Amino acid sequence: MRLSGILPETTKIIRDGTFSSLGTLFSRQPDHVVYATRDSDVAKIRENPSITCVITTPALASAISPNIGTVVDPDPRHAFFILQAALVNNHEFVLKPFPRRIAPSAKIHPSAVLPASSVSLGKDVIIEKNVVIHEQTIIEEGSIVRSNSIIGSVPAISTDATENILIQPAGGVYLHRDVDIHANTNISRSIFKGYTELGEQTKIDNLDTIGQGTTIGKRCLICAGVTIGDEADIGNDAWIGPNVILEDQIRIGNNVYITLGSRVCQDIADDKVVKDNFAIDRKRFKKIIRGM
Amino acid sequence: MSLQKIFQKLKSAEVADSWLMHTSVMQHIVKEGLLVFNYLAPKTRLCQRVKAGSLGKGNSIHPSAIIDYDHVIIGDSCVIGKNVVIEKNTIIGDQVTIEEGVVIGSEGFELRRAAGQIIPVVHLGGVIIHDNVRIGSHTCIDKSSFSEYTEIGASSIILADVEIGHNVKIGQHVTIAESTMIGGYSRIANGVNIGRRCSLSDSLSLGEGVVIPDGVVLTREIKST
Repeated sequence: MRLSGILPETTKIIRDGTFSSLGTLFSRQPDHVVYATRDSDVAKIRENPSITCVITTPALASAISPNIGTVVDPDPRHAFFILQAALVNNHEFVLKPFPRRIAPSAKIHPSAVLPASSVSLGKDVIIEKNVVIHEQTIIEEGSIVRSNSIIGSVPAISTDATENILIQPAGGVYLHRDVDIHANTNISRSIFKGYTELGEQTKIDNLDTIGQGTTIGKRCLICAGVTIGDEADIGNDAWIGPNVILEDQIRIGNNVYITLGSRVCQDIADDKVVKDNFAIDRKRFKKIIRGM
Repeated sequence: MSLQKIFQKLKSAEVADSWLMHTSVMQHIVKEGLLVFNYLAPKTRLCQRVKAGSLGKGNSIHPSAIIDYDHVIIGDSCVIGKNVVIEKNTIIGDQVTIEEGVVIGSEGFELRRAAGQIIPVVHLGGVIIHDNVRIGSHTCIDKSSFSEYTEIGASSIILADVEIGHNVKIGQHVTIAESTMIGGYSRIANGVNIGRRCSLSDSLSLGEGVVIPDGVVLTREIKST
């Protein structure tokens, strides 16, 4: 599909391009379109070869490499979600529905609410009380979803524009083997053709919120009250402390340790220990505090 | 030596960071030991603290609340709201108010990294909520890991979206505001007042009458003034 002809009138096409799906800066599906609002997003677009089109601000347009289709809009995020809303009725941009598959050894409490189709529960999966599972959810063997949690809720997209966009999600939620989700947690389903993914043996504590399209690696420990923004990418073996907030579209490396109460608004490289509101390196933080 | 003491010893910095614990043989011993414990512990009598449940007089319990009545003791004149989940081994006193969506006695967040895997530790304990306590909506109170109970003292008020970790002991007349997270094994004395969206590290102790303002990250103990 070509960019020209389907975007709102406020957009200006600089270079036309073709795409077959929508996605995030970190997603790997071929030929997808993304939006970019920050300077750091340009480097991420360069690293990801599967991005073919970008919706961006006029200031960033010149930094995008010439082989990528570029569209300029004063509010790229708003234009991107208008594009999503326009394409969600096209079956090529939505995950295919499949019949309900529930393994005989899965334990489901009678108060849990499961959809009539497009749900797959593996061996020894435990679904506890009052859990709500939405469509396009795949839970692999040995995973546990504890009381009052919601898997696959429809994300609310708010943009700076005054107009509200009605979002119909095109993706789902994928929980790999031995994932443990504790009580009162909310995991949003991806609004693109793809999954919000939680890797093997990742454990999530109570009262967490995980945004749409987020990918979490293997063996991560995420403590209580953590809010993870949309389309973030978290590596393996990360430890995220209580009450941490992660912003949208950021990448957290492997073996990262984020201390309690931090607010992370930039990418974090592998093997880092970060703390405080700007998620700065622990050694630098101590130096700043001593210098005061 | 009780199981809890053994686990706390294993968790302490001098043991956990020693070279012996990082050898592959020791990692496999820890991993296999935990797996055996997780398999056997729920089958033993250790897991059944509250042998028979009981329900007092004058309680108002919404029909959508899910309570394991066989292993939960509830006192008199309690109010339990919609979609509340109360798991086994919970003891609730008189005149306790529990608002909508509260989960009491769910599994704690105690996990060990051993031999490249994450092994959960099965929790065997329970929760005690004393008289005149009010618990706000969507609050989660985890059950204790081994011998002691997670305790909430009389006349305490806990507001919405609060997480109380395993083995936490909260005194009397304590107020905890919204979205506060309290780590495991903490000791909070009488009359403490904790503000909104505070993050408390685990194994902390707060002295009597301590006041903590909103949004504080606390990693060290505070003695009473």
